[in-house]
This record gives sequence, C-alpha cells and structure tokens, in this order.
Amino acid sequence: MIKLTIQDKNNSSWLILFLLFTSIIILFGSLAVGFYEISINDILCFLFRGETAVNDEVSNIIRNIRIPRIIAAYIIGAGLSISGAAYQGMFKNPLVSPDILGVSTGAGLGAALAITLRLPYFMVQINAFVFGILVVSLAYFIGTRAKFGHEISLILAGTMLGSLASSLITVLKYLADPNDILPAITFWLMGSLSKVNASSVSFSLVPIAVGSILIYSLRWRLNLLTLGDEEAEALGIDPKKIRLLAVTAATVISSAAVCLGGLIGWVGLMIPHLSRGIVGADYRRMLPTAALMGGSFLLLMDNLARSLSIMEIPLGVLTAVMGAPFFIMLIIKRER
Amino acid sequence: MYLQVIDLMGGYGKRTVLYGISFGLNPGDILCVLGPNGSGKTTLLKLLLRFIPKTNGQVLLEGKDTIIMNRTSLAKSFAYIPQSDRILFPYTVLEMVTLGRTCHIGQWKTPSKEDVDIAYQALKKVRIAHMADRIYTKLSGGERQLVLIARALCQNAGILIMDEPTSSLDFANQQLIMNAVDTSAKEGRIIILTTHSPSQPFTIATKALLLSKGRMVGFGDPYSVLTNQSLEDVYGIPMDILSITDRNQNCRTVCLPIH
Repeated sequence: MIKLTIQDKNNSSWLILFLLFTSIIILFGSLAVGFYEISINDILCFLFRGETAVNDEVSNIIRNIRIPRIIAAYIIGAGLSISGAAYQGMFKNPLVSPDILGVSTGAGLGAALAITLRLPYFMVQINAFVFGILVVSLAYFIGTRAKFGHEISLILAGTMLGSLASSLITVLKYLADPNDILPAITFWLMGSLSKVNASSVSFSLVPIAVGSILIYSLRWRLNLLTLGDEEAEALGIDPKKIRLLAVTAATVISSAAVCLGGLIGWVGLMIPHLSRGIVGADYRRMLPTAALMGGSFLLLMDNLARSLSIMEIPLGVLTAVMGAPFFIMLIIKRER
Repeated sequence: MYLQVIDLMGGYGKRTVLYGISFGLNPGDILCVLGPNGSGKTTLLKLLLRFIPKTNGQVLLEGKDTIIMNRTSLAKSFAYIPQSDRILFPYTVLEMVTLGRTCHIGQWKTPSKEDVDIAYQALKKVRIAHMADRIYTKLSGGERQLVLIARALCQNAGILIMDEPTSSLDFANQQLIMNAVDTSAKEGRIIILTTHSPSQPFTIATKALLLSKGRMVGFGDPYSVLTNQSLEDVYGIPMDILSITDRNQNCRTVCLPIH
C-alpha cells in the first residue's frame, strides 16, 4: 500500500519539515472552520492586528472556543500517536494501541464516576486522568509479580483490568438517571471536544508535553525494546527500567489525552503504523513524524466533526469510521 | 581476555537445569557446545549472558566475577548472536547493526556519525555492506544471521555467544557464517556456539563441550571429547567418527549416525 518509503536521513528531515509546515497551515486554517462563519480577513486581522481589530463576538469565538479546541485536537492527536508508538515498541507489536494496559477504560470509569456524582466538569477531567493512571499502575504492579513473561503478563493484566473497568462503567450507566446523567456519560465516552475550554486544555497540555519529551529522549532505547528483552539486555540496557519509564510517560500522555477529549480510538494505532510505513521503524525519525501526522490528522477530523452537519458528530465515531477501512486495507495488503 | 567458568549451576525459577559446568577459554578459542535437545545448551548461554540468574558457581572474566558488572559493561565484553527469528519492525540493516553500539552510547544519547561509521565497517567485515539500506525483515535467514554477526562485531566485545548460528541455513550460508566466525576468532575473540551437528566441532572448534541432561560429560580438545563411545552414550544411538581425505588431500573428520 505505502510504496513510498524514506529511509534516507536527509530526506526524512525534509519530510519532517514539510509536515511541520503542513501542521502550521492546518492549525491556522482550522480557525475558519465552524458553525459561526468567520471570514479569512477577520482571522488575519485577529492574528496580526490583535483582538481589537475585529468585533467582540468574533474575537470571543476565536479566543475562547476555536483556539482551545484547535490546540486540544492537535495535542490529543500528537500525544496519542506518540504514546501508541511507545506502547507498540515496548510490547514488540506494531498492532498495539495506547489503551492496551487499560488506560482509556480506566479514564472512562473515572469520568463516569465523576459524572454520576454530578461533579463539575474540571473534576470529571481530573478524575478521568487519575483513574487512567491508577488502572495502568495496577496492571503494571500485577504484571511485574509474574516471574517470567514480563510483557505478556502486563498485557493480560491490562486487558483484565480494562474489561473490569468497562463492566463497572456499564453498571454506572445502568443505575444512572436516564434524563441527564446517562446521556452525559454516553456522550463523554463517545469522544468529543465540544466541551473543551482554555483551562481544560492547559490542564492536559503539561502532562502531554512532559510525557512526550520523556519518550522522545528514550527514542534510541525504544528501538532496542522491539527486539525483545534478552537481546536488549545483551546489547547493554535494562529493558525493565526502560519499559517502566516508557509505560509511565505513555500512560500520562494517553490519560491526559483521554480526560480532555474522551475515548478517541484508532489514532494511536493507525498513525504510528502509517509513519513507520513512510520513514521506517527507527524511533529517531518515526516519533516526530507520528506526532506531526497525528496532530494534523485529528485536527482535520475534528474540523469535519464540527462542520459536516448541523449537529456535531462525535469525534471518536469519526476516527473509528476512518480507522476501520484503513485497518482492513492493512490486513489485506500486509507484506511479510 | 581469559574466560573461566567454575562449577556453574542454574535454571528457571526453582528448577535447576544445569549443574557443575567448569571450563576455561583463551582468546582465539572457538568452543562448540554439543548435546541432545533439552541437555542445557541454551541454558548455559543464558547463564553466561546473565539472562537468568545462576544459583551457584562463578563466571570469571580475567579473574573478575561478572556478577558485579552492570548491563552496559557486560555488553562491552559479551555479545550475543541470537537465532534470527523475525521481528515485526522494518529496521534497515544499518540501523540494526548500529543498535550494537548502544553500550558505548550515553543513556539519553543517540548514535553519533562515528557510531554509524563503525557499524558500516562491521558490515564491510562480513561482506554485506551493499545491503546497508535494505530492510532487515525482508532478508533471507543467512543474510539476517550475517547482520546479527556484524551487530555483535561493532559491539566490540571480546566474547561472542551464538545460539545455533547455522541451524536453519543451507550449506553455502553455513559456510559463510563459519568463515565469519573463524575470522572473528583469529582476531583474538572468544567464540562460544551451540550446535546440533556433531561434525561441526571437528571443522572449526578448538574446544568442545558435551552436555547430557544438564551435566558436563566432557570438555577439551574435540578429538578427545567427542568419541564413538561418548556420543553414543549421550545421544543413545550408535555413531561413527570417520576420517576422510578431501580433494585437496586434507584430512577431514566427520561424524555420522549408523543405521
């Protein structure tokens, strides 16, 4: 499928520059997308001559609605791609997604719990973040109890806790008030950026940034984890230590991403895969490529989500609709 | 570099698989470890590389116990060449070989241009520099094995440990690998390899170690360790060790099971 492969280092630096340029264009272009029509002229005035150059309504929409939402979409896409890439490497499996250790369902449970208790929106976000990390920590703790088969025990523990969390969510939904709580939980779980505001973006921005920097600085050693623990040890690293660092960083990222936008699937699986197809497996090139592609992709998807119809389409549904055919194609065209 | 193993014992969890292994090797030695399936060949390699903890005994490198070394310094002395099972990530050959430089690179650093040069030189040494940009996962078994040898060479370790390096290769590729092994030993390295071919020790090894049910049956010169009797005892079938003369009038020793 992807015949274009760029293994040459110089070429891939050009590609990364190109993707950066594209990202910037998409970021600014997205300011014009939305239910309320804002002209390109107004946007340029807002950007270059300040808020006072346009009328209050326009500047309010740009500053308080569009900019937070655009940043949210971009950092969620980039963050999920980075954390997906890291998870795939440390579990030696290119088909692993960021919620392999139960981070998404854990966060979902935290959010559902907070919504049931009628806590304010920012508490829903904090609760989701904490529960996501809690579930993965528990999975990690259980996984490392096992004497052999470190990775497989981790995945089993994660899968088990994930399904436990999702059945607890079902219980909460079953008991929830069908007039307001149930739709709120359901909508949150679908994944949407419609409730994003400046403060919720800044809450998630820090963990996503810190986690991404940590994973990026592990980029060479993540390559070794893909070879398996014994080979990694023989090449001179402690795979358990590197994996612990990477799991921590990747979990913080995906938990922060999920608590900002709800359950948005496929991005963390699809984008790293795609970027591996273009620049090869080496994390030194693959990570920045995946981050830029993931950010742009999710932002474009969110633009579609809020402009395709009068009623907003849940972002998670849209990425799944895009992701499923992509994956089917991947399975059919898979090379040896 | 002198490697000495004294009374080594170990296994998996509480199950001991290997008992009382003792031997010593000098630079230039090639040791063939021989024994039936389940006799503990791979376990011995795993103990030497510290993939599994030993329960007794010592592995001494120039008189120093390797138990006190950390992973990085262990990797500077011991390089491991696994059986080339397929990984799922499409690294290029050069990237794969450069991974061998990791123990010489700082914790948060990435390989320098010099590291890549060293990796490229290692590829040249095993005569596959022309494959540098090919995708590792798409190579044949023999080519992959050569890449892994190049990776071990640029790790710059004094001891190469190979797990059945020729087991799934055709004749020509086996010869190619054995030439690379021979060259590496002549440069002053110690090579330890496991094998299922009882003739192999006679062609390349300076030392042989015969294992049976986790215990050492013999260690030393291949001709004294591998005899009709010892092989028959260990494998349970009658074996003949034959001396033949090849077309260059060289005397060769081969080992054949008897029908």
